[in-house]
Amino acid sequence: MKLIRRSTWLELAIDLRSSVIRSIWRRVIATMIFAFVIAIAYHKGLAVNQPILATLIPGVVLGLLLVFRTNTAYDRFWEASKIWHDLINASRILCRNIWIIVLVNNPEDRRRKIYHIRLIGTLIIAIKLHLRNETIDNSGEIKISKKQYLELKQVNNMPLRIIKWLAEYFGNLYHVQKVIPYRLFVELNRSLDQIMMLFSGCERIVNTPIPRPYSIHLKHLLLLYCFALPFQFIQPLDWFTIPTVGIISFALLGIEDIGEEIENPFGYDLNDLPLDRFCQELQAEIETEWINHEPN
Amino acid sequence: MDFQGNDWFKLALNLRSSVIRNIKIQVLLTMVIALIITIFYQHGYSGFSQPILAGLIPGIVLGLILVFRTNTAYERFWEGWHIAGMTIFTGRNLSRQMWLTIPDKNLEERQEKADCLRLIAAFFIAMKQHLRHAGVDEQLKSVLSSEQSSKLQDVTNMPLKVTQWIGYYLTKQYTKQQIDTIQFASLNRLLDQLVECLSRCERILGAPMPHAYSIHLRHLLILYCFALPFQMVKDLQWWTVPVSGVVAFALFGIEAIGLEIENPFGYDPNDIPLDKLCHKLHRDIEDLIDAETNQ
Repeated sequence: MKLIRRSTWLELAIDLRSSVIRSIWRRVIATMIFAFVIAIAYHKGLAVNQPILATLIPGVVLGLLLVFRTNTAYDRFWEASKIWHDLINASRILCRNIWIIVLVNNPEDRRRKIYHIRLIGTLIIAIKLHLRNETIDNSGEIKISKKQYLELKQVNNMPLRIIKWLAEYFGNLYHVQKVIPYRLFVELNRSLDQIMMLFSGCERIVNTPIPRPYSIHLKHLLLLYCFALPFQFIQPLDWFTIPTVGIISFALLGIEDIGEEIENPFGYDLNDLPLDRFCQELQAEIETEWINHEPN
Repeated sequence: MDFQGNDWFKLALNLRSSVIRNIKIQVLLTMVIALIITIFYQHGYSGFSQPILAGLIPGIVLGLILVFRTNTAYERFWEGWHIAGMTIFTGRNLSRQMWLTIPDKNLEERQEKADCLRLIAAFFIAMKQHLRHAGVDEQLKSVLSSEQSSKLQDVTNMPLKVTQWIGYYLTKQYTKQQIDTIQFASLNRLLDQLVECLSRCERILGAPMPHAYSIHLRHLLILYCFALPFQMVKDLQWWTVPVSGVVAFALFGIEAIGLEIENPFGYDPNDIPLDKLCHKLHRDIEDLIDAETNQ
């Protein structure tokens, strides 16, 4: 497991790569241009000095709405992170249970057992692909048979199909080969159910829409607020109105943008969950910890 | 962390666990800026007094996201404690059940079982080291055989390896029919719980606050503190410098608390005392082994 290097305070403050600046600078410049226009109008003698406009959008209302927006987005992010880690955990447990419960004594059975332990790694990758709405491509990271690979290309819910294969394997061990007792068969199925449940949890996060009217209204309020700013500042600040308006709109639009950024945590951005890394780590773990150390 | 009495002043003056040490540069920088602005103002540049800049970053927005930041960090801290407690709880249960359900007919078997029980303590210590990105330490060596500790040195996930050894021992008992299916299943489930504790700790470390959030908060704090002197210089004159310093201390301090408790598995005085907890579980297990042997 690799962790995020703890960067120093200043490093993080000037790290522009994952900052929101990149996605909001156009909007900030737009408000500054507007402020510039107002400043020119002020110097031409037009009556644009209107401090009363400070009450146009009450700051408290805007502040609360903004923070609420970020909070709900963060909730989704945190829940996704929780579910995804539980998923890794459940797969570990399933690997361990197969490894410990299924006893093999001939090479064919052993091959099947290793194959199905690897299938769990594939399952996690399939879940990732499914959440990102992608199809499977054989990039060497997936070790499954040709026949199953072709089958996966056609189904529309890959993870469920793989879960079915695993269940068939367990059923075969219990009903046909009779190598595992009833109690342990239940145990294996319980772990599999756990994975299925967590997978449904991920789907729920992806499929739950964010109420559009809410975010649109917030955008309107923000625009009104930012465009009302120059009218308040023009008299005391004169030309300095322009950078000041820029900074304020940077602050507010930035908070709003964070909400947008983190509300879908399964994407590819730097601020999303590192799903690729999680998958690779699990696969590496399966290879080194479980497959190379067969008991008996 | 000992829970000492409620000596309010003693705690207030305790600088070791305070965040002051982490934020002195930020505070000093703010004060230097305030000083420069005050000097300019005193030399007649009255344009440096701009009370309107109080609206630059709305206080309520900054306040709310600052508090939100600290709260989420505290949640992680709390969850870290929760998991540490759960690890001890599961470790005790597993060791007790193993000691009671697995029969030992001779001294050799008993020795093997005792060694396996120590592996449970080893799991917790290995987990601690793993979360701190450290290797095998003295504490871990003291509960493992030298062969085992050299094996642990070159695996990526030490605690997982230890659960594998425990699992191997359980399978062996099961195939030798020392324990029946139900006992095997319930021991195995406790082992699953240990793996769960590990994964949950890894989650705390592996999913930090979204970067965009911490960066934006930091930008806002910097802007807010640097705008302070402009608002105050007219009223406070030279006092602007210390007052800016105090405000900066308050705000950067709250942010620093969030950073400090976000990762609760380190070595700081504010972190979970994992060394002590590991020692506790180890002692409990040794007690269990000793009590039986003495009878």
